Amino acid sequence: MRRMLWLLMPGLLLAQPGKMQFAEPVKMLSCEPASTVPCFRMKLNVVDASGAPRNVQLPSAAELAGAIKVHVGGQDLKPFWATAAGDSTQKVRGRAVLVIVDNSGSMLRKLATGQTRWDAALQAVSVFLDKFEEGSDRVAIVPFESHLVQARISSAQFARTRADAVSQLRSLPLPEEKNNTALYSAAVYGIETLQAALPRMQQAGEDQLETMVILLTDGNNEVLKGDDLGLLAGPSGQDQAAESVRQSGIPVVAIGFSDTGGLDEVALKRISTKYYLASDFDGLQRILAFTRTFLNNRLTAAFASPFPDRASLAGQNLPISAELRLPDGSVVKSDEFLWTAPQMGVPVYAGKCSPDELKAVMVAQPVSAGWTSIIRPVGVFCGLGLLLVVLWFWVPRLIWPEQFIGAMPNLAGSKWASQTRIQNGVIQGRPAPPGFQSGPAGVNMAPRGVGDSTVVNPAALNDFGATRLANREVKPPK
Amino acid sequence: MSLYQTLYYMALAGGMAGLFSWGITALLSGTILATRENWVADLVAASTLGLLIGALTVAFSDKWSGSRVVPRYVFAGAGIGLVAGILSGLAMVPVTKALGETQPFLTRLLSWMLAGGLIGLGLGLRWVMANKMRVVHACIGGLLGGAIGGALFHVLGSRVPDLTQALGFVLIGVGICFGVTLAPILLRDGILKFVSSGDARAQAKFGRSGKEWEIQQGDSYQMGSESRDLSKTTFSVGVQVFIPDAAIAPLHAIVFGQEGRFYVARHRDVNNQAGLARYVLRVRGKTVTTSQELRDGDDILIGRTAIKFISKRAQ
Repeated sequence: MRRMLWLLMPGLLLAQPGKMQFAEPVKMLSCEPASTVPCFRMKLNVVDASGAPRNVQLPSAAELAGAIKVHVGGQDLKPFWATAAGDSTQKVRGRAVLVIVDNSGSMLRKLATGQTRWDAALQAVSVFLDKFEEGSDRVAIVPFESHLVQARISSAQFARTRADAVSQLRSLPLPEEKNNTALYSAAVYGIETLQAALPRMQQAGEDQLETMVILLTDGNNEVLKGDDLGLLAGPSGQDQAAESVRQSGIPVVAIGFSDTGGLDEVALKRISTKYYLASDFDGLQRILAFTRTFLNNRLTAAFASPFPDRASLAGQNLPISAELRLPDGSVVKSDEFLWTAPQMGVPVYAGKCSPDELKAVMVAQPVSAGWTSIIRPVGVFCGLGLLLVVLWFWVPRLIWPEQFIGAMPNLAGSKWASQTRIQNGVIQGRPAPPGFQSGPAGVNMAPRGVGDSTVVNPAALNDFGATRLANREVKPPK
Repeated sequence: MSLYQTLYYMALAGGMAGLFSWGITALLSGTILATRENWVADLVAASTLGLLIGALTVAFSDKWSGSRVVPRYVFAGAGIGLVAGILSGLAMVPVTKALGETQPFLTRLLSWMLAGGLIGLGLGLRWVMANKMRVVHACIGGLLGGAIGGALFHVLGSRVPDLTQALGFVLIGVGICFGVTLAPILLRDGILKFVSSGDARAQAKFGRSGKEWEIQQGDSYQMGSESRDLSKTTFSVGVQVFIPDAAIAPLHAIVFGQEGRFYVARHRDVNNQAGLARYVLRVRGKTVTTSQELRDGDDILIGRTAIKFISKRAQ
């Protein structure tokens, strides 16, 4: 069964060529025990050229994976599993959204309609909650200004029913003139709160929740004397907030509720993954609907790594892009996402495949690395170890032979013991010690007798191997 | 052991340390590091590399300098290498954050160079008392080894999995140890060359290999028979020119370079009546009572060991 995902602004959006946008960083997952091959999971939204959700008819659930093509480092792959969050034929994936509403003093300013920004914001969020799907949605609404910022945001309770969510909305404190705007800290605390709440929600049976932080504000970051201590401010605070957002991988939608030029749009863009500007209630309502759509029409696809094991992914920077063939034959493509392995070490898993993904892996039977992933590193270690042993013990004999076998005038070039020829008890190339010379090698003195004793002759060309018999006068060998 | 032999074996020792650290890293990655953050994998890799290179290079260099391998020095080397490795692993985090997405190759190169440079710097500290420049040289050697290893790992990583990573680790170890050893050779201003010794131990150790000690201007080198295990230093080398000759005092003489000239002087421990009578120090056949300038080709008799001074200018 096909499902139409009709979004807002249909007239405008249908006319525009669409594209896919990565909603989250691509993650490497462990699909063990179903497969030893690492898997990747990507989440995408179909958007128009301006970044707003696009109204598209997706392929059916059964055909969705087949309609997606993934390009990974020059290779074309097919996902073994794909789902659309809004597909009614699939198990509906849970959504967890944290809405952080600015209740600084400036929210009391009136719009052209006579309504204050605060009232308009509450009304828009209320409309947003109208689409609350009990059983799937988890929504928490918290205020922020410049006092008790961390305490208020971290106390967020993710409501499981619309009534609870509306109750949270209604209980928000009214803005006060003395309230400033700790925007950067609010973004950081919001991410931390959602990240902390996720394991609890997932323990409660929610698997693979779609997440989002919505930051609704009408002002710039403003922290003054009398506000909470340690609030982020200035360029360094902005950098810290931006880095925190980037590192988290959680989509953060910043909604500026002001006139153009009325707030620091550059900062809002930096501390969010998507930024929208609304100047009135309608705009705000429309943008909040967008954000919901981003959660609803999110495509999730999992594909097996083109490399058989994690070790093979070490040192890799894989450009990943995807394209989706729609039922009408048109194709929407994504931008490129660069997946990067650690700089020195072996890549590590960001998590584990969901049960659905594991089932799909078992059906698709991606290539298993098998024994090669164990034998190869052992072989590499042994091979390189052997090379080093050869370099240690054998090569020096070629470079500095005199230190190993001494100078053998008649055996120049001989490197091995096996090449040493012993004839008639005398090593060829090395004169026999005095008193031991005999046979064809030439006798230049009487054979060694019982009373003879050997003297090491250190004066003989510094060669301690040279000897003479104590009671005989001989010239040291040269 | 000649200078080039020392260079060769030290580089191989570094390579072995690199290989072992790769083996340990691979083993850890397959088990306890399987599901952690990527930066932890880098931290563990760099730390292991630093630890093993530190331990092995100290052990091997002490062995080849003719002295004993002292566990205290080996542990100190391992500790310094470990700290340098941890620092480099932590330094990779901001580098990756800043450049990882836009300049992946540069990021990898910089990360490997950071690891090599910092580990080299830590190990170079061992010779800071004798030769301050060796710290810089060790750092440069580590940077070069890291650059080659990192580039190899990045370019060939996907084509030959495991092998290129292992080779990268080997090369970084080779680079650091090569840097530690090569720089003094290249920049030496003179050599003290072992000629012969009436002490069988010294003759057996240095006679066949023709041991050479490189010396530089501005540095001072202690000559003596004090073995490493008797030295009171924690990490640095106590006696730079160690000769196991019973007729040589534990701290016998000092060779130093000043204003383009080299001098040999009695160590203060033997610069007294008893020391003059017991411990021989002669240059060109004349007993050195305080200090004596060295000229190219001078024979130095210290204890029962003959050493030749060769100036680089003459070379």
